[in-house]
Amino acid sequence: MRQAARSEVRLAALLVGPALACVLALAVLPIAWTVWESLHRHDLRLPWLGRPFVGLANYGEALGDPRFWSALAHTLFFTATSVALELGLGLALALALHRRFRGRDALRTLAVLPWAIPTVVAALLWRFLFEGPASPANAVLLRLGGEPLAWLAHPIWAWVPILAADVWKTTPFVALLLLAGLQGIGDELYEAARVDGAGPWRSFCHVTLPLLRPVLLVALVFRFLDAFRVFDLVYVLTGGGPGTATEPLALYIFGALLQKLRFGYGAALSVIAFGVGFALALLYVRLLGARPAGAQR
Amino acid sequence: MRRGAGRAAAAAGTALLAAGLALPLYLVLVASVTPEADLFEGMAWLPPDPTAEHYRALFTERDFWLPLRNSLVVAAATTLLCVGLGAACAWALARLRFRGRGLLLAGLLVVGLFPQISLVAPLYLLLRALGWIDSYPGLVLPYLTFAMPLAVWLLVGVFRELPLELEEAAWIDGASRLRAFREVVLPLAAPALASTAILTFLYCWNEFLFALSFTLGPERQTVPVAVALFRGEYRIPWGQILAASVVATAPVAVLVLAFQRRIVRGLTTGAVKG
Amino acid sequence: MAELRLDALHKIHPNGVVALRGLDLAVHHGELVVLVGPSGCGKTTVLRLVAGLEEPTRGRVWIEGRDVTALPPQERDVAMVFQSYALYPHKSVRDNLAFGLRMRRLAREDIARRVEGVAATLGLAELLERRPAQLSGGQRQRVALGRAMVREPKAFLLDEPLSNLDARLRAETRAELGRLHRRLAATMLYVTHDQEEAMTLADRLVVLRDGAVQQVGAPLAVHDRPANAFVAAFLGAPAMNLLPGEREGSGGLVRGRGFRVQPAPQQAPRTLWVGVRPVHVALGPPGSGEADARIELVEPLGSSVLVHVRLAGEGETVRVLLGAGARLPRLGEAVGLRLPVQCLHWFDARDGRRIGP
Repeated sequence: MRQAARSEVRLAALLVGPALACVLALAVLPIAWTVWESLHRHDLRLPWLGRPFVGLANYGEALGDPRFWSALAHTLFFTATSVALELGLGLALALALHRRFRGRDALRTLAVLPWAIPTVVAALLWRFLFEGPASPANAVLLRLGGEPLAWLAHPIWAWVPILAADVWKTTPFVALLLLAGLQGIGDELYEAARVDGAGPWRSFCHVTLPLLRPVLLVALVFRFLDAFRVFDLVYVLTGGGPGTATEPLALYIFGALLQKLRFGYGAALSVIAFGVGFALALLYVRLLGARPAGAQR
Repeated sequence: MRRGAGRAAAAAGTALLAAGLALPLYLVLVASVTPEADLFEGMAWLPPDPTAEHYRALFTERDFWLPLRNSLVVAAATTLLCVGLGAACAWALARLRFRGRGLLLAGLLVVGLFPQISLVAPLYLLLRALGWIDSYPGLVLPYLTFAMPLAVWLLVGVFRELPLELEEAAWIDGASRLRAFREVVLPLAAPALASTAILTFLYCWNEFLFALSFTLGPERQTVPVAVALFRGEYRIPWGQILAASVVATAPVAVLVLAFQRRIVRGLTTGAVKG
Repeated sequence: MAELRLDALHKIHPNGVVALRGLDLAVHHGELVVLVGPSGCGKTTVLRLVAGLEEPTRGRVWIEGRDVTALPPQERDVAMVFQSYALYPHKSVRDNLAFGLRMRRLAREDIARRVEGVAATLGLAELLERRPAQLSGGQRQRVALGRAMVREPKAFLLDEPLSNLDARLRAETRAELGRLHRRLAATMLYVTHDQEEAMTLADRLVVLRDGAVQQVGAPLAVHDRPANAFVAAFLGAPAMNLLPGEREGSGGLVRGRGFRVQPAPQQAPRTLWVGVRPVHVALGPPGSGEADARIELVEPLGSSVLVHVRLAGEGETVRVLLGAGARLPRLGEAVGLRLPVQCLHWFDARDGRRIGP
């Protein structure tokens, strides 16, 4: 009698084994290693110092490192702004795509394209649009009566192409997610709202938004985690510059690890980055998922 | 009256959004066939004398075939392995009963959410110890590790939705478990498998951080890395960079055009089902 | 030798739910046995145990004298018709029918011959190249049946095959199934919750409730002599009236609210239920008969009239079935009920068991 159950477990082990082994070896163990490494001093450029255990010294250094804090600030700024823009514009695009009209398929294809192209390519594209005094962006600015800017050399304006690239690339994806959610809301609900006397704005607030909440939450969490890890975009667009004015956390860690070869310190930064990102994501889920679906009005 | 105005506004909004999406792409396309000298001297909407110079230089002087080949090999290998192993894993998670099943699925999901930057160092050391820096396995394996959670997550839902009765009917008809899987489950899951394959391919084609960290030279660098590291002798060779961007995007564009519906469905099923 | 034998079958699910308590059943060659009972009574579990889709916690399954309890479904040579039909959606009707034969490596000509034969029998010949999605519910049901028939199995297992059909189609298909069974002389184990299907199709039926067998026997035998109150109320439509009463004195007089009958069987306990089928109750003027009542509801059904009456003294509601030509009583009218003692069933109120002959 137990035989069938046992052979099921064996079959499961066979089928799950390879995937599990891969993930264990290349993800779980490295994470554990990173945590362990963060407790040591390990500078590959100073090999004679060995690899002593230093407890939480690296973390202490990070907390006192102004460049770390500005990297964190940059990351949070970028994340908040891009996610807000993407959710807002994404919702608008989703509502537009929700109607049936000729060419909807073509628009959908167009919408998927920016999401599908390599981030590096998108970054280069937007860099081209903002690079130099004769860039297309400056051409537009001149047309509007302004003065040409050195966008990418400016600590504040450099954020514009960065945000523009991310929003351009990701809004369609968010829109498609929300579109799927919209399509899950039955027409009868809107009809009932109309019978109850609700206009388009009120039915949007009281029917669409509440029912869209689970999908909005998924989109929010995924986009947040993605934006928090931003690397490709900034590496190509500004390299973190001018100076370190646009350097996000991932780029700073990359520099510490593969340019300055400070593995111990870089590991500590990685753990902090992971911790902060994870904690914020959990917070989102708790805050926005907690209210029961029926509690609107 | 109000409805007409609303619809006009929606159409206008839609047109604006479409323009916003398409414009940058169009500009790049135009720029890639504009001679270098004209590039920043005020571009026109339609290039007055288009040239294929940048594309020619790309393939003859810069050997852009190399990164294209590398990307193709790595993406294809990863996709095949990912769909194969992922499907097996997903089916086991959906159908078989064993302890730790829920934990495994949750664990896989968490792994997919790790910031990859935290893994660069240990993976670098591991790959170096195995002698796999600047090699195909050195990219395929990390890609596999991070593409599989998504693949498994998508496929588990699909397998769970397939009625178990279909497999049971096949067993009663005399088919072994494996035979039933091949003849009944796989054909019905084929669309989802295709979606997963496309998404995996796109992920590999576009990946940058690991490719940057684990390759050393043009022999094994993939397209995103090659494009990002373009160097000119005196100034940035924008013409060639943009031409390379177009070439890098071409396969992606083809995939998207051909499989747009599938891609959208693959992405959104996972999300909406939660 | 019984075609199918179930020996003390028990099934307890991993979560502790008891699906089946000790079923013993022998199905003879060519017999159609119906497992009937409300949902959750364990009837589908029995089918799945015979098919090999689930393992019994205790007990054995024998098919043609062979103990198959440890065998997987592939090797049992039974065929099952699922409630949802479970047709392979991506295969044509022909391929659906041929699948089982291909698995058993029959020669191509034999497969073609059998498939076409069954298709002709079931009227599927024109539909062979279609996919299940292009068929109507009734057509899909026939394909499911055909898939089972084409394999010429040792036994057929049918899981509520008619429940997904609309009412009219159900009646027609039920008759067809009966005819098919006689033609094939096949051994069939049939599961349904519909007592009418059970009564009309079964050679023998098994009434199940909460995993326990209530009664086994030929339909009319079980109908006319139910072993307990549950079976009495379950079989037959409209359902039997069950009136609670108490035995008074030693003369076999039983009195309940609004009625008095006698004589109860000798061994009757003090509290009991008196059962009488609606068709056996006769209406007369007040005071004539064993009970007094008032008309509560009159439902003309066309070929008969169902009358609901309320017994005097706030007694139970009794259902009475009158023939088509009877006079329609008026609402609120006072009537007398005749409960002929030879049509009465007696049940112990404590455990529902039948008392008496």
